[in-house]
Order: sequence, then C-alpha cells, then structure tokens
Amino acid sequence: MYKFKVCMLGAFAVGKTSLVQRFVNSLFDERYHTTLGVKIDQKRLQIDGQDIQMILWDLAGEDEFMKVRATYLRGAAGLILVADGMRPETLDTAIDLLERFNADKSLPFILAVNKADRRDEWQLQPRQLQQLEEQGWKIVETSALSGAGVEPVFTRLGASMMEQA
Amino acid sequence: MSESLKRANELESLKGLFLGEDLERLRRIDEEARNPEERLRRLAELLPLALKRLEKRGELNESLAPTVEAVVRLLIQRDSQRFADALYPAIGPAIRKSISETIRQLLRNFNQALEAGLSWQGIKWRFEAWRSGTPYAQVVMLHSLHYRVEQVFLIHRQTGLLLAHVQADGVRYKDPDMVSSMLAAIGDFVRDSFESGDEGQLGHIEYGDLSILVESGPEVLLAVAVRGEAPNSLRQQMQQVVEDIQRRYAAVLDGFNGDMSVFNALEGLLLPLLQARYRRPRKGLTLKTKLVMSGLLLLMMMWIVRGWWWHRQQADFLQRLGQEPGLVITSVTNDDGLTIRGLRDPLARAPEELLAQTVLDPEAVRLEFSPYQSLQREFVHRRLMRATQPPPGVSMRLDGDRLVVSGLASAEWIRRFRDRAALLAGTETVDSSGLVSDIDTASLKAPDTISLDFDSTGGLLTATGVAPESWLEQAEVRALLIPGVRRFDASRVHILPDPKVFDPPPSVDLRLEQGVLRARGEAGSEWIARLRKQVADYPAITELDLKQLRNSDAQRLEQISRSLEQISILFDSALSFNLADQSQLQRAAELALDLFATARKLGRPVTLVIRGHTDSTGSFEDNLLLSLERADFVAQQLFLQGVPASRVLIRGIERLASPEKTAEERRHNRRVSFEVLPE
Repeated sequence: MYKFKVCMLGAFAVGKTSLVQRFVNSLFDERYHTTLGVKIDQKRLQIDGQDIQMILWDLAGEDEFMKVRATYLRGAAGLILVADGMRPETLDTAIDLLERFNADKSLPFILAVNKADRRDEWQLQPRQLQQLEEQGWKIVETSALSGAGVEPVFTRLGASMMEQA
Repeated sequence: MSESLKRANELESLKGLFLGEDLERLRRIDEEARNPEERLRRLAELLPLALKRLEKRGELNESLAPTVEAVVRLLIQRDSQRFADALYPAIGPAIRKSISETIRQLLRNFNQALEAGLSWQGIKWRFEAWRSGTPYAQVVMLHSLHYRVEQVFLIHRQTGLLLAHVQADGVRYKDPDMVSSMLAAIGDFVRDSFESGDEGQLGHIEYGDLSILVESGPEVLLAVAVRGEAPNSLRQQMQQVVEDIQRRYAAVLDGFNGDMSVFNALEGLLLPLLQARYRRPRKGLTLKTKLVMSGLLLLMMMWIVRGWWWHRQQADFLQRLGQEPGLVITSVTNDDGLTIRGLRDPLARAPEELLAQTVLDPEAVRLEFSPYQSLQREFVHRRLMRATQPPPGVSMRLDGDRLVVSGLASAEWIRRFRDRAALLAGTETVDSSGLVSDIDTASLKAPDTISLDFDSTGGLLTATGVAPESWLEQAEVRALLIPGVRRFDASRVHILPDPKVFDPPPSVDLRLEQGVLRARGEAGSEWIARLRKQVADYPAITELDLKQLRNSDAQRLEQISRSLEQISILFDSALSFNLADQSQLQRAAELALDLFATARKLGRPVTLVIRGHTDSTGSFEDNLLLSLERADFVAQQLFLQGVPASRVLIRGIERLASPEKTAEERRHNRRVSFEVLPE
C-alpha cells in the first residue's frame, strides 16, 4: 500500500470542501479551517490493483486576507488545485498558488474546475483552460452538486503520484 | 600430446614466475573450495561470529523472524501434539503466572471497585460512565491509573503520514492516519505562527488528563498519547525507539516514496511503549474493605447463629411435644423441612397449638398425628368426665385402677353411671358407694324463719334467715352429719335475741314479734338510748317500735318547768331587794338545776327566762330599770347555786303595770317570775 500527502488548494469559496465532502472520510469539522487553516480528510482508492491512501490536507481558501501557509505543503506528494468556473479570478489564484508552491511542477498536480453543473454561466473562457492543458496541466471539470468528475480527480492524480513513486 | 603437456608445463612455470608464493596459497584455497567438508568446517567457524554481529546490530531477529515463523507453522501443521509437548514445560508456568497475575489484578480491581462503589467518587464515576457510555469498570480503571500509554504514533516528519500505530487494549481511538496528519499540521501551525524555526518541534500537548508526548528524529516523529502522569523514563524510552528506528530504517526513510510495505515490522518496535502503571493499592485492606468484610463476616456469623438458634428451637419444640400428656412422637425427619409423626389422644392439646406458641414457621413444620387413647390417669379421668358428665355434686377419683365416685346426684344419673363406668378404658372397678341421690335436712330441725340451700358441687349447705341462738349453736353439727353435706354456711343466719338481753326496767314491757321489737310502758332517756344502740347489733330485729313507750324524763321536764313557772319571788318594798320569802328563791334554784339536768338527759336544750316586775308607781323607765335589777338579783342568786348562766335570759317589764286597787295587788306586782323556753 502507498500513502500520499495531497494538498487541496484554491481561492476562497471555490468549493474545495464541498467537492470532496461526499467522497472522503472526514474526522474533523469545518472549524479547523478557521482555526488551523487546514482540515485533514482521507481518501482510499485502488489504481492498477495497488491500494492507495491519500491523506488530504484541505487548506483554507486563499483570499486577500488569508494566505495559504507554506509549511502545510511540506512533504506533499500531489496537489489538487480547485477553481470556480463562474469566477475567472479563481483560476488566476490557482495558477498563482501553483507558481508559488510548485513552480517547477515537480509535484504531480491536477486542476478541478468546479461548478460544471452551471457551465452555461461560466465566465471562464475555454481557451484559458486549453492553454493550460497545452502547458501540461491536467484539468477535470467537476460538480460538487452532482459529484461529476470528482473521482477522476483522485484517480488521475493518484496515477501520476504512483508514476513518481 | 607431448606438445600440450609442454604448454602446460610452460604455463605452470609462468604462474610460478607471476604469482610466486601466492600460487601455493591459491592452490590451497581452490582445494578447500572444492572440498565440501572443508567448506562446512569453515562455515561452522564463521556462522556464530556472523550471528553475534547481526545480533549486535539488532538485525538478527528481523532476519530470522520469517524463517522461524515458517518453521514453527510447519511443525505445528505436521505434529501439533509433539509441538505442544515440547512447549509444555514453558507454557505451564506461564499459564500459572498469568492466572495468578489475573487473580491479583481482580483482587486489586475488587478492592478499588469496593472503595469506589462506596464513596461519593464512586457515584460520580458511575454517572460519568452513564454519561459517556463507557463501561463502569473502564471508568474506574481510568481513574485508578497512574498513567497509561494509550496510543503510539510513528509519523513521517516530512509528510505527516502515519508510518505505524499501536494502541492499548480497550482504547477507543479515531482514524490514526488523520490524527497523525493533524498532529503534524498542529506542529506546522505552531512553527508557522510563532516563527519558531525549522529546528523546533512540537514536544508536548496536554488536554485534561491526556498528554501527547512527541519525540522527534531527523525523519520521524514519535507521538504517544498518555492518560495520566507519564514518568520521565518514558521520554527516554521514546528517544531510544526513535534512534533505533532512525538507525534501522535510515535508508528507507531518506527516500520515502509512500510505500508502506517496508514498515510492516515497525509495530513490534512500538509495542514496548504501551505501558501502564496503576496506583499502588494501599497496603493491607482499606477501611471500607474492612467494613465490608466485617459486614460479610457478621452476616455469616448471624447466619450460623440463626441456624444454631433454629435447631435449638426445633429441639425445644420436640421436647415440649414429648412432655405433653397424650402425645407420643414416633418419628422425626428433617429432610425437606421438619416432619414430626406420632400419636395423639383426642383429649390432648393439639400439636399445632403448641407449635403456634413457638417462633417456628408453621409452614416449615409438618405435623402428622394419628388418634389413640392414652391410659394416663389424667386422660382416663377426663374421658370419664366427658362420657358420664357428672353433676356438680359428684366427685370422681382414680385409686389405681379403681374409680371412686361420691357425691350427690339424681337417681337417674347414678343408674346411667353405674351402667357405663365399668366399660370405659382405664378403669377396672368402680366404687360408687359414696353416691347419694339427695340430702335429708329434717334432722337439722331448722325453724321456719330459716331457708336452706344445698350446693351439690362442693357439698355446701347454706342457711339463711333468723333463728334463735340456741338453734344456731347445734345447727352446724347436725348439718355435717347429713350425707352429702361437707360444709355448712350459717354466716347469713341472723340471731333472734331474748328481750331480756336489753335489760328493760320493770316499768317497760319489751317483746320481739316477727322481727319487730315493741316496748310499752315508761322508761328513762338513758335506757331508751341504750336500747336503740343495742338493737342495731341485731340484724334479725328489723324494726324498733317505741310508740307505746313513754319517756319519764320528758314528763319530769314538763313538770319541773310548770313548777318553776308557778314560783313568784316577792319583794318587800318598791325600792328594796328584801325578799318576802327566802324559801321561794331556794326552791327556784333547786328546780332550775333539776330542769337543766333533765333537759340534758333528754337532749332537749331549754332556756330559762328570769323576768323582773314592778308595781305601777313611778315612771316606766324607772320601773324598767328596777325590774331588770330585781331579775338580775335573782339570777345572781341562782348562778351562785350552780345554774348555768349561758342558759339564762334576764328580762325587764315591757309596759307599765295597771294601777293596783289594793296594797296586796301592789305587793304581788313587786316580784320576779320564771319562764322555760324550749329551743
């Protein structure tokens, strides 16, 4: 079995916690976000017959008043970046976070563009995502409402982490 | 052939030139390598040294563990009995030690539970157990702990990932992976928030009675959750474990890539940290335990005493049953409750009645008595009494086997008795010669005023009424001679006295007729009073008739009074106190004395009025004064003679006398007269 530390990053209120809430085992409640700035969850999955346990560090959303604590990313084996399709600035935040904490892209990462269920209302331009994909980004459109795309986020990231292990 | 041999020799020569002395050593090594026996010998020499070295490095156990485990499994599968036999010498003492340790622990827990259960603290713990849903025993254990390491986390320092986790038995814990990551996050948070630098590390967290001790190495964090007060030695042990793990897994930890399979053996290194120490139980028994033990001992003693007391009560009851007339005990069993069997005369007391007088539970005692007839004298007698129902005047007694009957009874009863008595059990012969059918009181010669009553129960003849004393003197002797009479009661017979006993004077005719005592004639007051008093002593005299008896003293009193009132004491002149006739004054004094004496005898007090008079000459006031002086003069003379002054009244004139016609009339008015007044 493999065990990985995975950090979830994104702007404030992009739906990080809502996105994974139905798919992970939680022990701690939301108050940890406002106190410690992080909440620990757990996700077990199997890739190519190999058991994988992801310890998810759900970091509090970054905004102009609160910055992600860099120390929380220490030792992470992978990153899940989350952006809100309806708020283009959240993609900028995700890009900024990646550049701050994984500029050399040495860590496997994946971008979850949330609120796919309201795609018609997206302000985010498809071209922006396409450009990122061309730069090697893995991008999955997700919906916290329906759960669409959530499992692939974990499986694709898990596969990437296994490749590097 | 020779060519090849030549080349071989040349090669050997070249080897000799190049290798020199080493050639021979190489040949020897080659021979040893080719010889299996030699290889075994060298291996036998080297193997112990190799094992010792591995043991020193702590790698021997890990290296041998899989092999030994596989061998043990194989042995057990092949011949489990043989394996059990081989282990028996070690397992036996181990089991005994385990059992004794378990019993010691149980006793300690029992002592603690008693101590806790009987105190306010115990109640609080029960409430805590109820509130938290934790078993009470565990709550007691937690509070009895000095300390206990409940969980041990080995955490990868860089990632916060859990490498290994062990927990004590019975400890409830949450997902250790998430907990370890959160611990790492807390450490990061502190470091980040307080800028403590990379060299710092979270060392200690406390929450209530729970402490989390963290010991860090270059690659790992060792966190232990301790309930209670951890000793300093625990820190040292943690350090040793961290150092040990760092040393053994240095290579793996350095290049940790998330693969957990390499850490399978880590739990074995963490287990020794799961320590616990309980508060040392007090030496000896606690006061509460002593009290409880004393209570139990007291209860046991009470139970023993109650058993002994119960047995004693049963024995007493059996003794009472055995002593009770008319009851015979034939068997006593105490298998399923006390069962007493025996015989009972219908006239004997019921065993149940005797049982009710004891403290034994009637439900716990079974009484089974069959009827029989007892030949004991008491029961023969009672059976006779019940069968013959003798009248009250008849007495029966048993003289051996002989029944002696006597007394007064009707002829019919006597006949029936004689028919049946001999048939009753317990009597051989019957002597009824003492039975009489009635009593004859003619020989008593009682007067008509006497009525006789015979109580045949006690043979008592009672006489009631009045009778002459002469009859009474002989009545008792005559009565006791009558068959059937055993006692004679004459206490209600009143004696009729002879009138002579009252000693009447000759002038009195005294007769007793039908209980009435009549007196005729004349008698003095003293005799009449004595008669009244004497008659009260004779209940037979129902009435005293004195209507025809005259009192001579009363007549004399009237006679004296008349004589005294007829006397006039005359004075010579109007102013002088010279008496015309001195003898009248003397006679008046004598009569006055006689008057008061007679009145005293009669019990009729009288008052003597001495009244003074004057003639019509002079004023009324002068004459009133003169009359009073004359009356006082006479009174003083009488007092001198012994007449009592308290019974005398002195009076003067009430009006002026009518004018006298003659001197004789005037002289007659100068007088003192007397008047007797009854009170």
